[in-house]
Amino acid sequence: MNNFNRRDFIKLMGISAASVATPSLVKAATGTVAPRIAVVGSGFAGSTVAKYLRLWSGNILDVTVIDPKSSHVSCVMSNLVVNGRLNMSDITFDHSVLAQKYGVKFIKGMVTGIDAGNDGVKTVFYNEDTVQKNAPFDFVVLAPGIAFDEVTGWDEKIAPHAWIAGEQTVLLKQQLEDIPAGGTFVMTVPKAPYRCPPGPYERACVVADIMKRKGGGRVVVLDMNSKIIVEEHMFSTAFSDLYGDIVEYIPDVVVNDVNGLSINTSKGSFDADVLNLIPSHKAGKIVSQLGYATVAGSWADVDPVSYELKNEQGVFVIGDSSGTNQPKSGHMANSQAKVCADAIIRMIAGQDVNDTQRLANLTTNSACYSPITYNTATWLTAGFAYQQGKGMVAIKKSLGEAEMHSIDHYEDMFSWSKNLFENTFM
Amino acid sequence: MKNNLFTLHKLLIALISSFMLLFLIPEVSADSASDARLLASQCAQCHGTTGNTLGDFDSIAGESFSELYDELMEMKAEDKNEVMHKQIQGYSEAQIWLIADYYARFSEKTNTGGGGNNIDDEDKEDEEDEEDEKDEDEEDEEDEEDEEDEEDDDDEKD
Repeated sequence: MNNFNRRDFIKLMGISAASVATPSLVKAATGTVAPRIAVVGSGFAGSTVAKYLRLWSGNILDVTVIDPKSSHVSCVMSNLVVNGRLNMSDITFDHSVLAQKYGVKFIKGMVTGIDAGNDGVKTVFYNEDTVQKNAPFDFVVLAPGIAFDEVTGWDEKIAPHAWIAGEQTVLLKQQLEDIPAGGTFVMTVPKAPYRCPPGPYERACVVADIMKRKGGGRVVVLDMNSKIIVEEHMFSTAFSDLYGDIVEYIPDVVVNDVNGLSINTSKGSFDADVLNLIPSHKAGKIVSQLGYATVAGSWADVDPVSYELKNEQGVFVIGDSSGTNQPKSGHMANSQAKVCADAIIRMIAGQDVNDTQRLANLTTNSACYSPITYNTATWLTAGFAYQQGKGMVAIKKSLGEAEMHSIDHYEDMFSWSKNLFENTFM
Repeated sequence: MKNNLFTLHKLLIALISSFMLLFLIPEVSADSASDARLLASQCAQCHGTTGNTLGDFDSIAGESFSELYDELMEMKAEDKNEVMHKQIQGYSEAQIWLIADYYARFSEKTNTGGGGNNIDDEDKEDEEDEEDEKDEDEEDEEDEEDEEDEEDDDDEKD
């Protein structure tokens, strides 16, 4: 299975062998070993790129996902775990599915470093069960999601972010079950760009709905941005009308520090029964650690035709860690991952990723649904196309959002997430 | 000699693939590096990896080129404030053609040729042979997908 014949690979990829130059990139892979690709992270970006590298290469490429956990908990739909509509098992995806169905290899480990050698081979260092190990790869795709900016005094076990789904989601859910009627929930909205643009406003609505059903309470939304950054009409109407007696929205907030359940900001101090502190974001730790977070000091500088780092050949960054004009979302991470998988396959086959036809058809898209009440939701969508010199640009006519939240949109939300989960994790 | 090797290689792959459900779909056929493949894969977030859509969204596998093309062009012209109507505004007529052509291959024995790929004639013959084999396999696959759909519907009620 592992016998790699470049000529066969090219033929399988449907590329005329006569038109293919010998690329230096595949020098390491021209023997009998299939090109080896390490994928760091198993979220929407990492899982999709691993799946499509196998699917589109006819299962020839050797793809290994390195992740400290044996399953991924989706942030998409996790607010529905918070309000009890879904269980954790509904948003948890075991690695064994991609392993069995597509032959993706998994290593349960934490990547600690990459050594990009002169011969094109990259040594990836990782901890597996506290044992330091390393392995050689021809390409490395980093998909580590997000990390948080530091907040003085903050303890996430007391004031959960619940912005990387998992134990944090469960903790917030429990805290909301215990919050007394008439209690105070305080949350922060991170400075843009952050993961899931409508997400924090959606969170505010979901919690306001919980408080409303408890008989009332207070939801204080401390926004680090100067206004609601997406679906402004929808969310501002929800805050002022639907939850007018519950939600207090405060923009332009600078967080100074946190002490237990108290938060001190430029707009005053707030004591909470539940404090949902979502700090501003930066690229996943490994990206910063390797010195790749060069866009605004927080995100990776990639070429969106391949998501290869501009300053490191053979290393790619996809999903929330990459710094492009595109939103940070699970749907978008999946979309970018396919562009990256296609680019890597072309590079191995010696085809130009900047081919005019390819660039003319390079698109990504994002769509998402946000619950507003216990049984209604809204939606938001955007398409992006490649433009020379500008990268991925939002197509104005494709931008849209729901006029009103509705039961129909709530039902569509399950169709959307079900397909997105299938396309990513199954 | 090389051709023989390649045929052996393909046979081996075919053997292994009979144990792997999703390996059977046309995506791994000889035209797989076409621009259409990447373009069309961007529909899969909402319509499923094989176009066999889960839930209430329209399933696109099994539709002919003209059905897909006409539907998409109609939505582009209507430009209603709905997710799919907005999404399709991001694609040119030429791209809609490529997408419709790509997904039409997921149906039974229709439109096996088509534009959007760079394959030469020799490869195309290989591809057509493979398509025939795959069409038979696809029927089995669709049956299994249907069963999966029913299970998913049950899950949703929970």
